[in-house]
Amino acid sequence: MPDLEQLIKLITAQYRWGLHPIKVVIALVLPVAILWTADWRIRRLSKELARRDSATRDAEPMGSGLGG
Amino acid sequence: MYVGHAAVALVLKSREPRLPLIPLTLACFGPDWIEVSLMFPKREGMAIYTHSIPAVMLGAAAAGLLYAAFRRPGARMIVLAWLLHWPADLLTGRKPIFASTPLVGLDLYSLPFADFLIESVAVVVACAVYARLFAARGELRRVVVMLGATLIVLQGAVDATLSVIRGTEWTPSLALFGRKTQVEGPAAGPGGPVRRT
Repeated sequence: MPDLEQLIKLITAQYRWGLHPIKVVIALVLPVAILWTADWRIRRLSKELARRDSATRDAEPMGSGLGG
Repeated sequence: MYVGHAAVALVLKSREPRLPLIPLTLACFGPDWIEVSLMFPKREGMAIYTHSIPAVMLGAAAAGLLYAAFRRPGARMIVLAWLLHWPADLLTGRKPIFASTPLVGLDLYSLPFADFLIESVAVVVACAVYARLFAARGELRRVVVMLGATLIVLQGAVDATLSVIRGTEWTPSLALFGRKTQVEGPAAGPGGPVRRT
């Protein structure tokens, strides 16, 4: 019985921590996905901020600050 | 090296902003992708075909040509990204030079905390370089901070896993090849120990 327990422990440990190619693929995909998501978010946010800035400029009254 | 390669991609992206980040990141991890694709039929001993100097140079040239065939700007950065994989791996693992032996490298994967420290510093520096060019405003910088934090957490998870599955002794190749016995025991004559030159 202890042998069986040992075997189960060994298999479970192997399953959990072993360097299976599928796990390596996941480990390689993750940084690509993280970098792409951040880059995409930055590009989108930059466009949004630029649009917001131009809308703010357009909304300013013409000739403000000139009159008395 | 793990997220350190992603850090290299961020720095290279700052050098060539027109280059999309996905092919650049794929090139930074290029030898690992080839190795994992070779791991499916045979699980070990593939590093010689992917991580040796000739293999890295061939891979870099092939990736650069492939990229240049489809999209013009930045093929040189793709080549550079692939080539930088080898020196980066030299810090954390032990890689072949020309043949399967000797393996060279500092083997920091056997010291997970040191590996975590070095790769985290690389990520922080790369994020700072990337933010300087692409994230001038606070809202954008927050995204870069999130990016850096996520990469560092990922590295922490990998190092925690490594510390569980690898119970091996730290064997940096420089110590292996440089730490030869200085004293000839039995051969030492009456005049004292013979020092090797």
